[in-house]
Amino acid sequence: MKKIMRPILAIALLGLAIPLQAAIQQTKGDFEDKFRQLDEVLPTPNVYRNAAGEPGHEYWQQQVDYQIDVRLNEALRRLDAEQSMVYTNNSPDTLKYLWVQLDQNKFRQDSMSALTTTFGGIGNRGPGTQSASDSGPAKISIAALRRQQFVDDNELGYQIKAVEDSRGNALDYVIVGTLMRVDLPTPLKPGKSFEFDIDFGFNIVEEDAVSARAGYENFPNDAREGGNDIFLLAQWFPRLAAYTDYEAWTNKEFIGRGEFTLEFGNYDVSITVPADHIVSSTGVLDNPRDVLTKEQRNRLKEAENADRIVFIVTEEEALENEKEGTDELKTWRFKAENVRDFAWASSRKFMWDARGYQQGGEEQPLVMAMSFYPKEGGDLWKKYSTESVIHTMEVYSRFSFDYPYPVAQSVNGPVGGMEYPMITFNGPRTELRDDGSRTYSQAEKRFLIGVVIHEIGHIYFPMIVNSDERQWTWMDEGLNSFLDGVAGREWDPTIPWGVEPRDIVDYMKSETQVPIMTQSDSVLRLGPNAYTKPAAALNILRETILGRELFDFAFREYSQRWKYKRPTPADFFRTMEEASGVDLDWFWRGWFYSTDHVDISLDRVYKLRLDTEDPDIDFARERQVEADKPVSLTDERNRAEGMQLWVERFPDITDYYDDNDRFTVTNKERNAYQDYMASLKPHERVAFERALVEDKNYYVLEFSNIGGLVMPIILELTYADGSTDIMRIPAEIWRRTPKAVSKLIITDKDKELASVTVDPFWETADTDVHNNHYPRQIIPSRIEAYKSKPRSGKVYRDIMHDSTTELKTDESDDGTE
Amino acid sequence: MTVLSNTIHKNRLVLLALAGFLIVSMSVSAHQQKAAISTILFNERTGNIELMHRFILHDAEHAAKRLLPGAGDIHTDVDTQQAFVDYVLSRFAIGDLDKQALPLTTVGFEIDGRHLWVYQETPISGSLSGLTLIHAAMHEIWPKQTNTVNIEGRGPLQTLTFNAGDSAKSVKLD
Repeated sequence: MKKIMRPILAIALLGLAIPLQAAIQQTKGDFEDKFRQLDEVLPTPNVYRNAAGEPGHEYWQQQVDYQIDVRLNEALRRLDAEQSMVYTNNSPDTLKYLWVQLDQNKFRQDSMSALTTTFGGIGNRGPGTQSASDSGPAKISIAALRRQQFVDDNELGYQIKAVEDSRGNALDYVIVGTLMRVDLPTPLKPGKSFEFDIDFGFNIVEEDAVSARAGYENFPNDAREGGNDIFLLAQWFPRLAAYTDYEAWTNKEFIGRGEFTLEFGNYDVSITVPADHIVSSTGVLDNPRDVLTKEQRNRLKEAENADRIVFIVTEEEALENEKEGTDELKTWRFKAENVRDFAWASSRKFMWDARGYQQGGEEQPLVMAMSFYPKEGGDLWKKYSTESVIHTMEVYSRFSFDYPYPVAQSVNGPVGGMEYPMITFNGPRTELRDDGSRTYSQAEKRFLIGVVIHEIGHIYFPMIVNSDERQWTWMDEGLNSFLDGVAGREWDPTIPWGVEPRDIVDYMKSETQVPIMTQSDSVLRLGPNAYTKPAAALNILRETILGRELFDFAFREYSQRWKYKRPTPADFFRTMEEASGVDLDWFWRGWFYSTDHVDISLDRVYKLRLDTEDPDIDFARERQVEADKPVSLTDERNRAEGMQLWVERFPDITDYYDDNDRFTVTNKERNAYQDYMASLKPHERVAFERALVEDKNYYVLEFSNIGGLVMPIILELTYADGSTDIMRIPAEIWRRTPKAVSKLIITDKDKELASVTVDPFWETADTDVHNNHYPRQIIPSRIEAYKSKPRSGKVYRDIMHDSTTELKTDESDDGTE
Repeated sequence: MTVLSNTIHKNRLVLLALAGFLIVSMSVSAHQQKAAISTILFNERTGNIELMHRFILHDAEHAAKRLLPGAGDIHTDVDTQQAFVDYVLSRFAIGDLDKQALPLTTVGFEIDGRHLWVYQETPISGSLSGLTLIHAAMHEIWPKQTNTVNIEGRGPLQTLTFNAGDSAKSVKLD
């Protein structure tokens, strides 16, 4: 009894007194070591993940190979499939059971996702509700009703028809929400494989109705009766949960936000669809002769070396194709090697373009960049989708490795933007105008380019650098948002891509935020937390802290170390530090482990002058200082009134002090000066005399750190002659006094300091620029600035559409003639 | 006398109707933020409480398409811009601790980079001891929409975050 009680009591007391405290604490004073090394926070290095942030010498990961036959029933909007898996246990552990992810079960009425969706609650995916309050009744939106009705009318979630070993013997299994435990007939020893089958089916969700990452979209206005569908299929088959060295089974329920943690493997998937459908899929098409015409195969060949996109299915062919359906079926077979997931899309609406990206190198010299889209994608997609795919590979490969897969695809459908190996789903469309033409705004163009870059970028992170999305959203979204900003600026820097430090200041100073290092499903304000803040932090790390050479080398090293492997946050932090050779623990601590923000204030600047110790010089200077002080107001007014002073009335009564003030030098001081000079050692005398000759200006700058986040102090020094200097002081200046520091700046005699600006290029995300200037400046608020300038929004016009506007004539103007 | 709760009540009556004009459902994508942020600044220099609401332009574009029947291109069509601004301001309210609404003037709106900014102001009242706020823009269409308000210039910065379904919240001022 005692043994049990003690630890419980101890935990309870600790919990009350100091929740979430580190093992090592500062218990006296209020000093906070912002530069404390992260060792006690990071997991202990081991043979699987070493202290350098590299895969250790015993690194392992499981392998799961899949062979699937799947049939799309277009009329019923349903998939049925038979799936065989070979699970290879590369871990040092013996496994008695396997966990399988059944993500479609998220859509069941009794799922944890459905049951824990709070009414009027926060952060839900899908349509909205609003709880009652003292000022209004509770609300449920039409969209929420539509979702509910869809869930009522359609049986959702997996129908598991069989779970068997390779000889057809049924295996015991238990379904736990979105997970299924499959019990092994005999324990699976290290190095051994187990083959088993799952037969399953499910009704496909309507993406618009339930806000999923996949589903079907109906186009009721198409010529074909009942319209046509685009099917996007993802999280469609039972996938093995990951078994890792750091968490064992990553069997965390799929609630919706935390994305996926998956194993690499090889796939062989046969997809049976209506014969007039075009299929885009993870992998390489293995049977082009069965599903493509000779003409289409020739066009694909032509595209390999083309300078511009080549249409495999043209717009005219797609429009003709979507007019009617067929009862015929075709089976498309795709094979993919070393991928962590498998997704596909199918529709008779697709046109299909391709252009070969000749990246060279040994691993994958040719990548086919391809796009699939309906007429609703229009010219926007024809011009920019495939080109954006290629641009992404050009930029991302520089930061990581050659794109290693044979295809990279962008598919238009109902999903705004989502990534899978070799294939991405992207949402932007054109607008149908009254005259039958299709146009798009400049913003929709930017959205298309931006979302394709972002989603294709995800094929690198996390599809290849396989971070654990369910635990850490920032590891793929943050890194990828940083890189999509880099790629975007290399496309057209006039487009605002939005990972600039200035974009994050309002979030950084707000009080309702959690550290970046927070599990995905628990993050508050996911967008700025997991996308923008880490992206801005990495941008700052690259441009301001490390510089491009060190950052790019370290980032590339991280990418290559963890290509086809599973990094954790510690592996990223350690690699960036190890490979750059720069201690970054303060940076990770401040940006990733805390909610501090940057606000460095320049409080005071004062000037010092070196005494010469020569009384004939120093006393005269002091006399001048005294003389430069303003005259006493009383004296001045007495004089103005014509008052005659005593010393003026009795000029004959004088003494020594009337001719000699308190700054008069005597030989006593001169002798002391000579003694002092004689006492100096030769090297001291040389230094002293040189300093006297140079007679430099000595300025002391006093800074305080209001935001708490330690950062480099970047200074623009402006001199009286109008010239400027930039000075970059490393963050380590704060290491002993993180709240306030002083810095001595010495300038040449003719370089009189006139003003100083902290962070002149807005590169540190400093939240308050008012205290960045000395002397202080009046900085107008946004509203003051807005009121003082004329506005226009010319960049945002849909000139494409507006240019079709007919010029009004006098006749039509007033209608009187 | 306008009472804040009335304002909010009036806004909520239109909730269901607005959500009904659902034409296309923009799915929650892997790259969108659905986050708006506002600053309420006590500006002693101008004597005004300045309200600066920032929306991600692309969110505004898609919200306008869903919420505003017959909406045009928000980037070109001044009427659509104005309608969106009217909409977001109808979903925002500010009052004192007794929920007496502050008399707001709409200063204007502008597009700056990837953001749409909407500006309002009201004279600083000496007797103001706190604020009551609600910022429910886009909550009825995007449950994950997060609206954050930083209150600055009167004591330490304070933050209120509004998620879908939240009622009005208050802060005390120094």
